Amino acid sequence: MIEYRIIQFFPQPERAEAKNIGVIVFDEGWVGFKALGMIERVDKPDYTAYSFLPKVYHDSLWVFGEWIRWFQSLCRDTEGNNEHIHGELNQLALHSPLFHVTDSAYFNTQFERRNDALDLIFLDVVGTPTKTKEPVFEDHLEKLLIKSELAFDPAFESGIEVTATLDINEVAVFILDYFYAKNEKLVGIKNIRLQKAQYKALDTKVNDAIYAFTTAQNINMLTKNTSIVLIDTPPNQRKAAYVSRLQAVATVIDITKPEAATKLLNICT
Amino acid sequence: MDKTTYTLRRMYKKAAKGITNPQFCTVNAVLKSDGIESPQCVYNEVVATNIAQTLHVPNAMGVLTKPNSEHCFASLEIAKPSTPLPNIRKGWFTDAAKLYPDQAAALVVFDVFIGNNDRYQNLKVSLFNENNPIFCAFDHSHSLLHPYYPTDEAIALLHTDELLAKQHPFYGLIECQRLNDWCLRFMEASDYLIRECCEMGHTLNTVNVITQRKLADALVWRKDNLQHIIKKHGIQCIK
Repeated sequence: MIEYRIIQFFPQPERAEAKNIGVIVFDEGWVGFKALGMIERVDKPDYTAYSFLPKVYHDSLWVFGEWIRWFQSLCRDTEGNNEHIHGELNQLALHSPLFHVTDSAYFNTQFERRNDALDLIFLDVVGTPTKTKEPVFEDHLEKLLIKSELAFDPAFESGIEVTATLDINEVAVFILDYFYAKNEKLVGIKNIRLQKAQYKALDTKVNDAIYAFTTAQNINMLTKNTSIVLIDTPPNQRKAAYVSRLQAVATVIDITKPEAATKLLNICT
Repeated sequence: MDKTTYTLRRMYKKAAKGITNPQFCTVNAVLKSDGIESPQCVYNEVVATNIAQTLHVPNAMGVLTKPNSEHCFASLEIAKPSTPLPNIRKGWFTDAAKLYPDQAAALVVFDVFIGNNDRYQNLKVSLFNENNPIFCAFDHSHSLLHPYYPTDEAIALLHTDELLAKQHPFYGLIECQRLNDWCLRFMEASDYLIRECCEMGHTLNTVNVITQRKLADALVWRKDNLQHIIKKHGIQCIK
């Protein structure tokens, strides 16, 4: 019999609806911990694992990384002193009413490796949040911003209007979907959804992006490298032609590709 | 660090016309009230908050409120991050002092000044996300009019060169220069500022104006002797 306790998060404590986000497993002097977003041999958690939580928490998903370290530290510091671990877990409500640990439960199992038992219990009580629908452009975009951690960076702003003086009598105004300004580095970002987009709307959006980035580069605000267009994969040749036009003035990143977050982060930092 | 913002619970219709667009709203807070185990905690929290604000020590904000016949201290709920941080762990203080050297030094001097021997864990710090620096102390119920002593004795202790904050998680982890700088900042504060932090002009629950004045006297003395107290007790710091 293996003892375990489930770590729960209450997005709305008044509703008392818990989301299981992790598990701590005890077996004699051994303690194992696993939570959503933890990746083996990777220091930083994958915060997108928490994107199923209500939007109000999305700009602070990085805090779950602090909690993961907190639980890891608890298991490590106490060196298998289960009584001490239970004592600290029982006091968790003092940290925040949003985090809770259930009472001990027991799992009847025979495993050669305790980590296998941990994985099984985690899968059983926490699992991976199921996808309710195929991700659309906005879902990919949100995951990209969380994965790159730009969503948590105060230097990353959305919906920025820029007024540029081109000449004594000429002022240009353009809008960037996102703007990143840190340590004298400026990055401008536009989003353009290609799939399921109507051609007429696409013409307008692409022309607007080209105008915005050309103007930003003319006034030395951005470079071609720091002018970014986030797109999804073009579904046909005609839409791929829009990508070629955009690539003439900007760096185009396909947000459905796994390397998108790294690419975006490399430009921003 | 960004200025701390607090959680808005509700916004109402515009209150009146004006260039500031005044609008009624409510903010979230945690109410603390005096009890048997901590009979002067409300006064303690108010004074600690006043001192922290006056000298810019990183401390959670709070306000006095009166939900019934007694005053309570409403500790305002911090809005960002919307997911609450865990309290700091024992093993994390070294990293916290490295990441927030100035704030840690400020907190040591502050806790020596108010005689706070209960800093352990009463601190929220972000350690693993460089883009969101947070360092915020809270809970000062075990300082000033310390609940373990009769009121006059607690004040008398503050009026001596006793360290009171005998244990502190940042002892030995802060730079001597910063410790000295913060000590000087406290010492350079005018007496009247410290008095204004302590004296409410009326009785606050069980703490009357005479007790408040006595505490002010003790803290003014303690301020003037802060460097001596720190040196006498050999608070360890990094040279």
